[in-house]
Amino acid sequence: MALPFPYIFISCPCSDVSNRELTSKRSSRDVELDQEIQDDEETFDPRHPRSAFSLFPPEHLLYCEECHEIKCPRCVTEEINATYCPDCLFESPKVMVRGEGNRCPRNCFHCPICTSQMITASVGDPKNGPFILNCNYCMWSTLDVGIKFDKPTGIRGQLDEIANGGEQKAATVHSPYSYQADYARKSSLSRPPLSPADRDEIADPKEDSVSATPLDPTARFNALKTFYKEQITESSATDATFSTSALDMAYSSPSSLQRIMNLYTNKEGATIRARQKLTVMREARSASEGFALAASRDSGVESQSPRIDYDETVTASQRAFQYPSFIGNPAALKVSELRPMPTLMRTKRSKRCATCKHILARPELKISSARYRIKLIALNYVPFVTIKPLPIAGGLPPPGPDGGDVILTPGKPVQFIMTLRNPLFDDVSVSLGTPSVTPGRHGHRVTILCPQFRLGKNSDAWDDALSNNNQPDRGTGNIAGGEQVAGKLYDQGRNWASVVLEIIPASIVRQQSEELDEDEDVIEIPIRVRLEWTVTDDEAGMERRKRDTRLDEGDDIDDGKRELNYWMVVGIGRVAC
Amino acid sequence: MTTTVASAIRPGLRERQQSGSPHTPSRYISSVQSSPGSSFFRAEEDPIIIELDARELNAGFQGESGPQCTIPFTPRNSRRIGDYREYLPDYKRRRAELQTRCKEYELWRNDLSDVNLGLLEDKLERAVREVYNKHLLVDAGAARLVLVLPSLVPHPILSTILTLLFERWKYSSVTLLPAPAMTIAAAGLRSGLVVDLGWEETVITAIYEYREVQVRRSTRAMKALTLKVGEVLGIVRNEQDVQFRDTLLLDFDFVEDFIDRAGACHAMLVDVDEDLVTMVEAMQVQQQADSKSRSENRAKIVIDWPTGTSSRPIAIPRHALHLACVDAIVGKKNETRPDDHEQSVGQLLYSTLRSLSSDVRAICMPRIVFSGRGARVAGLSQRILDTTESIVSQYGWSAVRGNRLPVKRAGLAELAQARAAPADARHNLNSPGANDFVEERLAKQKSKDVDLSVPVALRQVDTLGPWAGASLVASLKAKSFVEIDREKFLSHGLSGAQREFETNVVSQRTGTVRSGERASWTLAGWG
Repeated sequence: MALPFPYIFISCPCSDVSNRELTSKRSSRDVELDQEIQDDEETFDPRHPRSAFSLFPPEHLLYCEECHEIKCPRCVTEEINATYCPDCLFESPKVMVRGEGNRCPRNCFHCPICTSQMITASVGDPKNGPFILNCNYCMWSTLDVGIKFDKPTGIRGQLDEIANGGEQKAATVHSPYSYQADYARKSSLSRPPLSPADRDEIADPKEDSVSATPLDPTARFNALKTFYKEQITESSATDATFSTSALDMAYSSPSSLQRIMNLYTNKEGATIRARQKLTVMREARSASEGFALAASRDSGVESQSPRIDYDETVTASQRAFQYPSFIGNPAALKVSELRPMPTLMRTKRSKRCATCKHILARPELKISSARYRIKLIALNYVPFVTIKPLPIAGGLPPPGPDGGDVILTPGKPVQFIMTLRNPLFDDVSVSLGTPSVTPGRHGHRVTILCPQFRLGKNSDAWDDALSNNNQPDRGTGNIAGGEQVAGKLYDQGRNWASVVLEIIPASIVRQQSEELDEDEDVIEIPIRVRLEWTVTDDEAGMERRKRDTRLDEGDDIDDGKRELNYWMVVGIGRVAC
Repeated sequence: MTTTVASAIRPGLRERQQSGSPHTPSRYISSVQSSPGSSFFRAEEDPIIIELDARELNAGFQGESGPQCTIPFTPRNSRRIGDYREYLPDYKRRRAELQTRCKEYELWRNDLSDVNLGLLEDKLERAVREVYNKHLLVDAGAARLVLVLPSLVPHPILSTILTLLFERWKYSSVTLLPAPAMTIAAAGLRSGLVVDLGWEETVITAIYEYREVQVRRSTRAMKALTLKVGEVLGIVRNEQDVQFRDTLLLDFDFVEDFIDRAGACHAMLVDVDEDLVTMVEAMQVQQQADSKSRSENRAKIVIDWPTGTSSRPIAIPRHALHLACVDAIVGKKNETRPDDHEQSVGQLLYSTLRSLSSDVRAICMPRIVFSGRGARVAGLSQRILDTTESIVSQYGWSAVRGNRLPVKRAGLAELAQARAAPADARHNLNSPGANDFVEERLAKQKSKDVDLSVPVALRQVDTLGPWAGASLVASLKAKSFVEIDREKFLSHGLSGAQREFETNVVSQRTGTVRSGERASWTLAGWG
């Protein structure tokens, strides 16, 4: 049971395999397979593993007014309108987000142990620090990994430069985007005379010197990248036909200039040059090129990881929380190697119908506002369904305010009242269809006493009161007035109607040792809902006239008739066993 | 942060900084020729790289050192929307057999008889949607897609994956890259032997100059190990006190997590030298009580076994874990299995090396790369290498086994002695041609590599993993063999692929973009 009983799910028609088969061209074998599935899905089985992907709570669904279809998250395309940090509600411009690794660039961090939000606290002087990040849930703090900050602000920038243990990161690499970019922008004069990073750089070009400390994955990656670039330039420097520098479209670089000159001046020379191209890319050899031997007894690399206790090891979920590797440390083995993670940014997205590109939802651009400018939710078009047990003697007690478990006795018929409320401003004729026996291992018998009826329009409540006398006979003869009579509604109101649903739960027979599958005892009833209505209001009429004037387009004239078919799944309760 | 912005807008800046050969830094041309708007666009055009295997999906941007996120395929991820029951305190986990539970954690199996392709499509769609909306934060389908796949993917699955990607999102093209070659590239090598201790199968791929020359597989992989360790843990649980025995959880997530964590703290395999140490310690009877307790500690690993609400410290014998590991994966030295599909990894490694031609073998032996989840189990790769090494030292590279072999061989050696000349001498007989292209090239290569030749012995090289390899290769703008165009795929499907893919290897190798659009496309190794 995912939600308290009773609950409603709607299956989006887009995921119907039969619908999809028409649009995609597949090989004949697949079509056969589709037909097989189609046969299975004559009646929708809510317990089929695929159903979990097509069933949505009604509130999650949108409605496209152009296609007259329900739209689920699978059949909309999304566009990002704004990116912001959910913790500090700071909006980042789109171009910055990538460089920041899709993470909050300021002070928001999450605990690597329990993933809750961290706060900046001072250890020592409240104003001058030093400061740490502290998790108030599990009491983990950056002191555990030996990190302290000088300032209470700009923590992300500070943390990017500190490795666990408090030392400065070897290569001062924050992300692949800022790699050495600092040096490109600054002249050498603006740099401090001999910063540790600088010294590293000087030491770097020394070939074949195995550096004492093994590079972290990011530094190794960058080393490899540099190495490959070098190799490509080297091996194709003499290649007259093409040079890699041309890849950058930089005509001002000497090598590509030479290439162009070659093309026009001496053809023979070029062919000779092509033949002379003897260099082959070699492979990386030293650690500075990104090569590393695996830790083992024989290789002589004594980075053989020290013995650690089981308690100190990282769980899979903690490791998964450390991605990406240039910010966190997904290769961590020990808890002390974990790093606090900056908050993942979030986006505001507008949604479009995947078939007609009509906008279905567009949020307000202001981050602090939760409102939508456009939002076509399906519940404004589809009847809202509620279910409660029939209040008769010996029936089920009405559910408490928070739902709760509903247990049904096998073999004993139970009645429920299903009420459909019409949100549209037009009368809707509804027909409900359900298999008499629910699919699955245990067939529960289901009867809807009145499967076809009409729902009144959702007019103003005052309208209803005023016009009540004028049309007292709407649906008379169809209302059973609180009785359960087959073919008659249980009750009806201005824009709603209720029908009686009768269920005879099947008993679940099992061996003592046998364990029930998850949700095997839950009664879920698939109901095929078919809605028909005619749009009458002015807006649609205008639209229709507009369409009429454009007859040459050849599409059929919109006569205002709407039809909607979908499967709905009603979770009623559990069978006692 | 300003510098970050600059480099994000102008990717050329950072690229040039890294290439080693000195040349004048140039202006960034495209920003001169086009409006600034297009450079924003350019920044977004960086391809997305998705590495997909049967268990999980890794996704990120080209040129970055690691994926942005990794999404496993678990039952939790295939529930209905709004179903958070797993997080409820009174959630009862089902006590199903591990074997049957495994299926829910796989996107596909190589045995397609009971794989529901529709379900695969559903799971993958949800995972890719989550990747874009939650982690990558870019509009889906705007940029090119690079897909890193295992070198063997069943055709119906490949077709389903591609159909989904092209129909659900508007990718203009999808590039396929093979995972083993990318693993090699991420180790900085050109050739080598990739031992992928994957989920369903252990796949050993010999790669020579980025091309697969030999593939062998065995079902002795992590799935087998998980089931085996599950059995061990089940036995341990049954030995516990009756009162709390049933509260101890034993499900797939726990077993897998246990393998990872125990692997990290060297508990899965008892090291050979550690064995020696304990033996020596046992012989020194001086501090008896102390050493006894210590050796007891050595013999068992105490873990916090999760129960429904909390956890409970429980000791697990290391020896049983060691046996499970050896039994499930490594195998014994002189093991004979009737079935080729379940050769032990040690044997498999040996037979793969044996079937390679000798020069390729010489190159591959010092360049063995372990990848996959099993590579994280400390000591496992070394153990496999040790087993292989002992097989090699016993039998050499001959496939012939038997009792009468030494006798016969001695006779043959006598026969052969008369005509045999030293192998090297024959090779050098060739008189160097005056203008021989190949000879010259070889000589140059030889002179270059002369001091670098690595001794031919089993040696293990570390890699950054297939995702990082693909990121490297893609950022170098190397063109893949398999680039599938949207229109062409949608009109013909997989059957539109050409069988022959003989292209100019030289131009491919140097990573140059060939002019003009490719008229036909191919599936290369996947075909």
